[in-house]
Amino acid sequence: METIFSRFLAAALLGIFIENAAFERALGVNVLLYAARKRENLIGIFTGVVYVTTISSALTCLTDRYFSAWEYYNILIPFIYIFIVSAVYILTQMLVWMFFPNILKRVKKYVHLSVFNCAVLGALFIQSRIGGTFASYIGYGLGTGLGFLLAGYLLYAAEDRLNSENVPESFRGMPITMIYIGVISLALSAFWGKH
Amino acid sequence: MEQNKSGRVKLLDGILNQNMVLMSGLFAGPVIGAATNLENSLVIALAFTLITMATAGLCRLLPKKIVFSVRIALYALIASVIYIPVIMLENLIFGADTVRSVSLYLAILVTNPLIMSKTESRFFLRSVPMMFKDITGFVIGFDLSCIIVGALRDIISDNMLWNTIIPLPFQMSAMESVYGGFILVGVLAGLFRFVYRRALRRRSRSASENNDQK
Repeated sequence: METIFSRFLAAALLGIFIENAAFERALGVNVLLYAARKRENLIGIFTGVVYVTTISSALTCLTDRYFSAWEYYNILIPFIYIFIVSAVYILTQMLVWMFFPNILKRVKKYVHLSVFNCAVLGALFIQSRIGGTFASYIGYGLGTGLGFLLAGYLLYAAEDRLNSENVPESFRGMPITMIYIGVISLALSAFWGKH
Repeated sequence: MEQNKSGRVKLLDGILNQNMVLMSGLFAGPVIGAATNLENSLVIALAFTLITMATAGLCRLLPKKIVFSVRIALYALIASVIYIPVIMLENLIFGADTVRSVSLYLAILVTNPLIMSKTESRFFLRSVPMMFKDITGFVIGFDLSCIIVGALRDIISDNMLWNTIIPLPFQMSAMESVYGGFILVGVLAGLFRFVYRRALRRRSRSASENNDQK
């Protein structure tokens, strides 16, 4: 039990800090830029990302375990993972529609953005390369979602300053945000001692 | 959206005004993460072009009666099927090692925003020829940005462009990293916006002067 929990925790911490999808791999930058504009978007989108990466990681662990020996598995991975993510997306939407229709109405305009984005698919790929146990797959999936939430919150917190008049007009918004993410990424790389 | 009354589309709209990397940052991830040299950027640009154009063409054939959620999932599934022959072709052109080095970013091209959101909000609202013209603009805009960033990082980090030595008095290996990519793309986006806005202002000033003369 202790080993399962320690593997889960180690993989989660890896996903949140060391292999942060946004800062270390530049995955899902467009979703970050969109989500950081409003607090409501931030909560809705990142709840979706955390949910989908965690559930899909559990399912991709099974496909990796039973089909990875197959010769053509590597080239079919995107199709298999997209199939899993799509199944999770459609089934969840049906359940939410049945039990909480008002919530679905509220999040409908951006729910597909939080499911079909580079961060979700990228997290599944990275975990597939790392391999590991069922606990580490779920831990990494959850960690990636939480790491993405952390990145989104850091952008949301700085949104006003990044769009202020102190920034030259041409750099206001997206360009300065990219530089800001770059500086955080540089700081994290230095902190973890990456070269 | 630059579209006149006859439904015509300006190719330059996707290349300049709504450039996916330098103007909106809509799909900067593969450029920052994978375009660390010219060869890698060409791999990404070719795959992006083939996957996006073919997927948009096939998805257009899907009936509109299908529920939005299912349709979006089908778009991603169609893109992931098209990914298979595209990767086989790239293995033949660039070699398996080069393609493997950017495989993570090639795979995520199947969920690019042109397929997942612009199809519904923009491309499928037009006639088929105009749709392809519009997509071509966006694809050229992405490809050019990707190749320019890849070439610049190649020159700055290794003082080389493909296999040609470019003698520079400095070398900055950090440009190959993700944070180097973020900072370079941010700086390029700022400069691009500055030049583009200045050109627009100059054009509108000369147009108003012409009107005054008349």
